Amino acid sequence: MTERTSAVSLHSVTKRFGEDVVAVDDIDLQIQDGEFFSLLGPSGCGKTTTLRIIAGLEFPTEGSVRIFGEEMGLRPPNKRPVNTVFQSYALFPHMNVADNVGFGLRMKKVDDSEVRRRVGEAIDLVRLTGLEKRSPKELSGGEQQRVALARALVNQPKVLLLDEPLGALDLKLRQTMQLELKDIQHEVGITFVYVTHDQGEALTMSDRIGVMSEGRLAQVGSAEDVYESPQNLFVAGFVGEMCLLPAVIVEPGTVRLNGGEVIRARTSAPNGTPVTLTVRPEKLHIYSATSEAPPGRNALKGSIVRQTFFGESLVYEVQISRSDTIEVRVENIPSIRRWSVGDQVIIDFHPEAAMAITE
Amino acid sequence: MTRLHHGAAARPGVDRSLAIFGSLVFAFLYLPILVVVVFSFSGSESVGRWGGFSLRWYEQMLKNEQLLNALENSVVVALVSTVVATVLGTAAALSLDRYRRWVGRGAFDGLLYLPIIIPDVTMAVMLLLWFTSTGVIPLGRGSITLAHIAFNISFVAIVVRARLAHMDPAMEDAAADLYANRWQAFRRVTLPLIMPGVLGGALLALTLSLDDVVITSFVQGPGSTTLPVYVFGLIRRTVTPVINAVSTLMIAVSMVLVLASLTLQNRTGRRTESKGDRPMKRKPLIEKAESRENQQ
Repeated sequence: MTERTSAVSLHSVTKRFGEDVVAVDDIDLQIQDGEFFSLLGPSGCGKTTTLRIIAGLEFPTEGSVRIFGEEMGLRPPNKRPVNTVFQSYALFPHMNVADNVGFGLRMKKVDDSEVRRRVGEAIDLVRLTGLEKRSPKELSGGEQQRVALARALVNQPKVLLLDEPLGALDLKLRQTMQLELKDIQHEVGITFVYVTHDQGEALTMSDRIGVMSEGRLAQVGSAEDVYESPQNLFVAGFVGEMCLLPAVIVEPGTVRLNGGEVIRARTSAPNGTPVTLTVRPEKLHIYSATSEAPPGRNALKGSIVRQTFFGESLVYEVQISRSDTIEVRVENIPSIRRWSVGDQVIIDFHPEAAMAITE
Repeated sequence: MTRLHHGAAARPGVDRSLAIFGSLVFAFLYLPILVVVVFSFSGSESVGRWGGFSLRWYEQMLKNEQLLNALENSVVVALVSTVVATVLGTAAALSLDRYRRWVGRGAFDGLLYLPIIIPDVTMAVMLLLWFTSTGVIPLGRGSITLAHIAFNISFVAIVVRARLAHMDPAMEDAAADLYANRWQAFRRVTLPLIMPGVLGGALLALTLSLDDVVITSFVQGPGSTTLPVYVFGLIRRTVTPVINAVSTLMIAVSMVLVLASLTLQNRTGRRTESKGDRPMKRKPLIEKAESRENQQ
């Protein structure tokens, strides 16, 4: 994890627009060679600005950017060993597919036969063979996206930057492209820095994720780290669905909820600390109030106040105390028992599924 | 529903009266032109009487040295002012589009439109006063050309800005990201994309320069009269059928220019339109793409 081997290394990078707007706030980040790294966050969190700083399309107000150990300083984008896939694709409408893909090589004065060969390879890589002479206007959204990808990859950048490249595609195509992007990354073996606001996309594709909020990195870690052990309430709330319950730590590994129930959870703060207990809706089970909960697990009594049908699953909202409700996601399988509003139930979950976050 | 039926029933009548009204407007606009064109080929000495087909007025036109001199002035002034105004107007449009945070941008933006808004005669007086009081440029072809450049910059800038407004700012980012330096990015990406606007603006400038009477007649010098000003002077002294021939020539040139300009603007419009349509067209295109993928 030394600076030298990092593909991209940001050191105390801050970007201000005007006097008041801080788009990126003192970010430190090392992205490893060959890694698929996602910057995940809501719109306006500074993820795209961070990407543009790496690309050289913006310069940081403070801090430094290194790419494979080389200080970038005020080096313009055309002199950096990175290429970008833009959100709008930014294909040149007055050039056909082959000319779009070959643009970078021509600017680098690569000779003609070489350009033709590499453009052909890149077009094969993104499976657009046969569409070389088409104009971007004549392509579907998915095809345009592939052209943008080929146009960047053909230059063999050391780092590929992708700014919400799948944002404009419909769900089905997006899922196909996610897998394809991952395959292409394996094939070319270069570092991908991927900006997205879609947490599902980040979780499925990334080796590591940097969750951003208000210009800062809220957490950096593997998809599992970020999902299973969110370090703060922002990450807990933004990545996936999460039930949040106010609680107080009574002793290590045990918390008391508002309603007085004492349950076991992952804790690290000292006794008496007010915390928020987080638990994923899919890690909860519902039993009838008359049945016995399995030993060694947490059990909370409550009554069903709402049910929502999602197709592949159902979500029940359960009132567990006067002030708190909790959501339970149940897979929609034939053997499942359906509950109705008003049913008295017991919610049960493993102590490991509940995590207390101090904030 | 009943109302719709009423509407449908009433329409043939409305259509007919609209058609009649339309033809009247056309007649009002184009009959005078038609008359001029027809009588330019008349052999008669009288402007308004048909004297059999003849090209004598065109012949006389080509023998009239003053007229040819005015024509030459017009063409030279128009070409030079168009080229200069197009370059400067495009540069102004680019700078206004790109640098949004400099002091005085608002003032510059407003002032750029001034030559379009203020009456020609005001502009003409201002320019004349400026030329005579500074004395740097003697009144003549040079002063006319400068005056034409002055008002044409605004028109070019407006047309080019409209085009720029439709351009994705990421285009230049993409060019820079693909190793183009700033000049290459402009030359290979920005300029081709705004070219219809630049050419449209240039044609507009050319037409305006060829047509201008008011401003030119104020800032001209001896021997530097342009064609429209010469014709205007001629018509005040004597009315000869030569004017018909000259007018026909000018109409023909103007029409060619206007048609060319319209064609370019149209192309611009179509491109913008197809851009706007894209989200609606996307769905079927994707299905097509997917079915192609499935076949593989």
